[in-house]
Amino acid sequence: MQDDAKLIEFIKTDLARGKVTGKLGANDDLIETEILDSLGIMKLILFLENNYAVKISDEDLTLENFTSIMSINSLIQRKRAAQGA
Amino acid sequence: MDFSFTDTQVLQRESIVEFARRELNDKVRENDQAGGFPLENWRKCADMGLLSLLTPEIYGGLGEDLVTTANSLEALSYGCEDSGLVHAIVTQLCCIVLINLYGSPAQKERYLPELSSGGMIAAQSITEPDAGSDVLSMRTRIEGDGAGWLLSGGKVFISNGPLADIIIVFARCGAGKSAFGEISCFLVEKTAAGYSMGKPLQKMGLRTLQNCEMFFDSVGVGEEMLLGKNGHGMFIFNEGIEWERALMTAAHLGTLERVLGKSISYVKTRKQFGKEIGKNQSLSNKIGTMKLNLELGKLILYKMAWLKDQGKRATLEASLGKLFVSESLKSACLDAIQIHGGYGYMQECDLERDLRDSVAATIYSGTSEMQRNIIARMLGI
Repeated sequence: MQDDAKLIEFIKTDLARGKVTGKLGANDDLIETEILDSLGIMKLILFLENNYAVKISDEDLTLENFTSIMSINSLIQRKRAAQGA
Repeated sequence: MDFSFTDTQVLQRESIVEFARRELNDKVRENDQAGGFPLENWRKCADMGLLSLLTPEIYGGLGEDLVTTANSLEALSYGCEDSGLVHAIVTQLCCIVLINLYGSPAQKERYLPELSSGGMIAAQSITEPDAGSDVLSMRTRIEGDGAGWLLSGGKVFISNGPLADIIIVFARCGAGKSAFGEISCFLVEKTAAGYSMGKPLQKMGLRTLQNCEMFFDSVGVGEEMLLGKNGHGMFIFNEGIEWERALMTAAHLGTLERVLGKSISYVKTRKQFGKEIGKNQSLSNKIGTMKLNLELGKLILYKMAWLKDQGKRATLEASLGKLFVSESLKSACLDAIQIHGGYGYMQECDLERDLRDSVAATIYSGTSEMQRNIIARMLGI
């Protein structure tokens, strides 16, 4: 999926910064691997809002929504569906 | 793109400058030397509406946006020579922003009117001996469940701490590596059992601003004192720090403009070898740099204020502005002393106090080094 590729590329190049040596899997835990630290999450939210035309609200800021690429993608799809995109 | 302020904003700025010069500059040097808080001036600022700029009208505030508030703070620190008092006001405004953004209706009802009128003073309690910008290293813990929590730990350098009636405390509620669910944010009143504070800290500058250590010894905290959602402290912190950096930057720019004006006035009146010393390019170049930095700083400040007013995130802009303007202010103070020569080195010139105050600007709310790290991270480095 094109969305997946863009998201994976962003996480690998902008957030992981050497923490991922091989392929980043859709279910890999972004928290345990320390890819998503306190500044990383702000960068990710900015990326999602700017690239997927969604608004991430306080309600969305749960661990479950950001654990993996798959969960982030699910969040984007839900937000888009809710916005009627 | 429209760079102009409204007529109301222009008038507001003029009236604040006039008020600050008339009411706030009487004993700045004496207060700096004594290190006491100018409570009477605090009350005058409250009466002027400066504490209620960002408070919604339903809670007795002016309900201004960040552009207007930044313009007002610029005016205040341009007219007021007591940077410690201005910092105390900015701290109060930051607390008001957090309670307004994340507080329950009951919390807003209880605290916003009192904070906006200056009847209550607020502090943010974040920094610890081993946890500055690395917030996840904090050791202050909150334990328990929804029925009640116990808060234990210690904080340092807390601005407004010795005077605070209400404290916004950040504490760890988990032990993981994530920004999610590991930090919570609570309101603690000064009368809470188990809360105590150390003596006011003696500082190099900003001496009228009161800072202290805080100690929380199993302070009981109920559900009604949780600010925002349990475990959302990191996000509250991140949002709050953007507002803080914008408001601090506005205050620093006002001081920078005052130092610039003072320097221009001096080089046009002081004569050596039969001419105004401003005719020497070595001095006029310093003043040119001050003016350049002032204008560039305003562009960054009002871009970040505009972003926040649009409900957008301004993590990068807040760091750029805070870094650039605080460093520019420190440089301007040093240059202004050099321009004034021996007179500039004397306490009666007041520039040495501005310099001491400006050093703090490059440290609090994230050091200049941390700002550069954040900027690099935001650029994907």
